[in-house]
Order: sequence, then structure tokens, then C-alpha cells
Amino acid sequence: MGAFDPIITYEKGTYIETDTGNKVSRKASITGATNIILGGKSIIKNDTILRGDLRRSTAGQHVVLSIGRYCLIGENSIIRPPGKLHKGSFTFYPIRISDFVHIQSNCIIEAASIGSCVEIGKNCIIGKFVIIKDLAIILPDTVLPEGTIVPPMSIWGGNPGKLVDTLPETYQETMESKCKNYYLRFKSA
Amino acid sequence: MSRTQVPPSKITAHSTSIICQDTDLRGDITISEGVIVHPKSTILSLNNAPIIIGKNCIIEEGSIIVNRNQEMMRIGDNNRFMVGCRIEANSIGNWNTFQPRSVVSSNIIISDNCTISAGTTLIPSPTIQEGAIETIPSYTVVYGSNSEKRKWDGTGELSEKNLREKHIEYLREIIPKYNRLRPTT
Repeated sequence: MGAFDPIITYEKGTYIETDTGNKVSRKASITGATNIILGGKSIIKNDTILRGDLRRSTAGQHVVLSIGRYCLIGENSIIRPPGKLHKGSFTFYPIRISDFVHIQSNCIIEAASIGSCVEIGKNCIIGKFVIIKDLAIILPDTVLPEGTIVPPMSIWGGNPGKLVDTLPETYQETMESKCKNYYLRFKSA
Repeated sequence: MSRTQVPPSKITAHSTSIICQDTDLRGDITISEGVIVHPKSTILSLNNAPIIIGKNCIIEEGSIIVNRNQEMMRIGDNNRFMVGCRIEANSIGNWNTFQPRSVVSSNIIISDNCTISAGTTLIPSPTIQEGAIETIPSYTVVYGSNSEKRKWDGTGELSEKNLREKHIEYLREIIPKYNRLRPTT
């Protein structure tokens, strides 16, 4: 994570760049795009699935999936809103993902909210209605069961996921610069 | 190099089933009433042996159902195949849940009300004869990093079933609004 890190390139034309600097792969399958908000400078990689169509049952406009700035959604990751019974009828609930969140490849995310500066490793399964607070690391291959709450400044791993370690206080700056750096290095060939 | 010839698919779907366009269905597949197949899911029969899917099953995105055998693969009613699961079982009963990224290998028969938890693998037990088929009893739960088994005592069964019914009802309403569907006959 420094000035000498290699540039990550993609073939020109395979990503769509929006006005706010989001880079969205053409190979990502995004359903219900009208219900998804991207904060800007976020990267959505190949073959991800974002389910914006699974929205709340009440009438009107609903944001299903809001993603902050400098986020990364890795290859083959699936983000789908969690659903449950509420007052006798089934409804899906929105997912909020804050800024500086890196989700690596092959993850399945059904969380209710993910705080800022969170890194989720490869092959993780984040169960329904999980709440991940700010500044957390979920190690690769972790399975977080339904309704887990991950406190700030913690590292979680295993199946079922458990608290493994804590993070240093400087982690916020580290993660922010890492995310910004990653975005700057992600360029077309 | 020519690829092996794949026999033409024969897909029979009930008119009340909802099958998204962006799915990979190959082989002889029968889909009963009320089944919902999300986009990006795969149902394959390799030897062109039939796969029969019972009523009101939910097959979510990224799930793979494969029939590797010569015989018919029969899937019962009200099963839920969650995101990214891979199922090769010989036959499946009713009301089972296959949680995200669970793997069920072949030579297994699953009874009713079983839960295969997230990230677990279910293979025939190593003590039985090779190639023999193991039957997983009803109410089995497979859990944890070592894919251990235990029994579910059935608490909250009714509310689980109620949730499943309401879920599929809501999906029926919402999926056709946002996804292109395959025409069903």
C-alpha cells in the first residue's frame, strides 16, 4: 500500500464509468437498478449480482441497496437484501453499506448494514440481518450467522464467526488510504 | 475439437411457476406449480435423466442443482435452495433448507425438514460401503466448520413454514416486475 503498488488494469470498455466516478462492470448483473444508490468512486467488478428488485412491500419508492464512496464489490459476490415477516406479511429490508468498504470476491452478503472502513475477505457468507459496525475486518471464509452484530474495531473469523482479535486505533486512516489508493490504481488498460 | 453432443433440453414448467430468463436449465426438467427460479441459477441433468422439482420450491441465484445419475432426481415440495448452494443428491423430500454455499454430494437421499447450514458439506459417511446411498433422516441439521450433524427438535416449525409460504407469495408478486421471465406453458 504505497506509491509503488502496481496498477490494476481492466480492458477498456468493460467497465462503465459514471459521472460520480463509479466503475461498474458490464458483466455485473444488476436487477432493479432504480432501487440502488452508489455514492461515487465505487467499483463493482465482473459477475457480481446486486438484487435491487427485492424491495419492501409497501408502496412508493424505496432504496434497496445504498453503497457509499470508495467501496469495492469483488468478483462473483452476491448482495441481496434480507427478508422477514413483519406484522404477518413478508417484506425485504434495505441494505446500507457505508464508505470505504471492501468486499472481496465470492462473498454472499445478506446483512442489514455495514459500517464504514470494513473489509470483508474472500468467500465470506454474511447472514441475514447482520449488523457490522464501523472499522471491522471479517477474515476470509468466515460465516456470520443470522443476526450477528460485529462491534467496532474487531476482527472476526471462522464458521460460525467469532471475535478473533481487535484493531489498532490507526486503522481508520489505514483503511481510508487503502481504499482511495485502490480506486486510483484501478484504471483501464 | 468438438464438444460432446448435448441432447436437446426438455423443460416442462407449470403455468404458475416463475422462471427468470437468465437461468441455465439443461436436460429433462419438470417444474411443478408455484416454483420460483431466480436469475443466474443452474439446473442440469448430465445423463439426460429427468429432474422433477415439486411444488413451491425457491431456487435462488447462483444455486446449482445437478443430476449425475442415470435415474430420476426427485425434489419434493416447499424446499428452499439459497444463494450459491450446490446439490447433487439423489432425491430430496419436503420443507428442506439448503443455506448459502452448502454442498450436498451425490449418493445421498434427504428426507424432510432438514437444514444444511451455510458453508457446510454433506457427503455420505465414510463408514458405509463405497457407492452405497445414505439416507439423511428427517429434521437433521448440518452445521459448523466440520459439518457436524444433529437433530432439530421441531421448535418453531410452524412459524418457519408460515414464513416460507409468505416469502414465496411475496416473490411471486415482486419478481415479474423487475425480471424477464421464460414463457411457461
